Amino acid sequence: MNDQRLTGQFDPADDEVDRAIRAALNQAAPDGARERTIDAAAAWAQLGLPRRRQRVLRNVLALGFLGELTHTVLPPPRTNSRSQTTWIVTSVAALLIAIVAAGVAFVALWNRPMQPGGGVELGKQKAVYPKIDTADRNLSEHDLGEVEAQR
Amino acid sequence: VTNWSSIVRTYGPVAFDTAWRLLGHVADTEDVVQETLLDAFRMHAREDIDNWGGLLRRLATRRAIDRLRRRQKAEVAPHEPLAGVSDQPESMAIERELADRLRRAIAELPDREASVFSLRYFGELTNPEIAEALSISPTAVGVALHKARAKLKRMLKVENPAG
Repeated sequence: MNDQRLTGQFDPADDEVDRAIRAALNQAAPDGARERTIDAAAAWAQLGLPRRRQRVLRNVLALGFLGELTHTVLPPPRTNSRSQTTWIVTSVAALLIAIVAAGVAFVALWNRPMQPGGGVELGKQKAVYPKIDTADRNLSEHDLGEVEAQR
Repeated sequence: VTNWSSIVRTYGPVAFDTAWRLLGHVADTEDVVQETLLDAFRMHAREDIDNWGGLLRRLATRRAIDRLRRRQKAEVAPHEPLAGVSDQPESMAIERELADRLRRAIAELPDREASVFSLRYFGELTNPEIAEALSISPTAVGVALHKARAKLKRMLKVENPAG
């Protein structure tokens, strides 16, 4: 094992890796990106919430019920396209779930039979037929007699 | 009482620079910096932190390498608009391609080698500082660095046989 191996130093001829390192170090971040990141990180750090919960909270708030709160309490969502896509997908998914849940609840109420004597309820009234007492022969005979008389 | 806000302001840029050099993508870097600071915040709740700079570099490196690997799996190569110190667009494009190849290669390294290499060249720590940060011996740092460079050299040549 030589000194090079212990220190990680390589001879100047081995410059492929060095050139790549220099290229990465020379790549400058866009103007203001660092300051924006630090400002946002400081704001989030003050909230002390795990990042995933922050995202969920922001998306729930952004659904519209407490839209104003999104901008007053929480830092604005970042403007990069990937996080915006995630934000939109999550919001649309939450909205669809809410619509489906509302639909299921409505159908359940709609099909619920109306109780006799009950108050006005949502949904159509199911027909409630009177029970026919088949033992009541007089009623049957009377009805037949009327039909025959009409003929 | 630790002033958390002043720690973020003082050492946040260090975490940003380390993550940015490894990732080369603003949104990914923002995520990594936030995750790093929250990790540090949780650690601070459990124990006293003596060296915030070293800790944030280590955490940022760890998180950035994880993100590089996830990016690799997803086969996503995000690009920022060209911005570098070079005035020549062509040389800037070549430099960026070279940096991206290096990042892809780092994602393929074993954990220790990737961490040591990244802390040495992107976190700008010395070998003894890396040894302290990773709780390994300086000799182990040197060996890991040597192996990392040798592997990266091979990988960069495979990706660019003409070079």
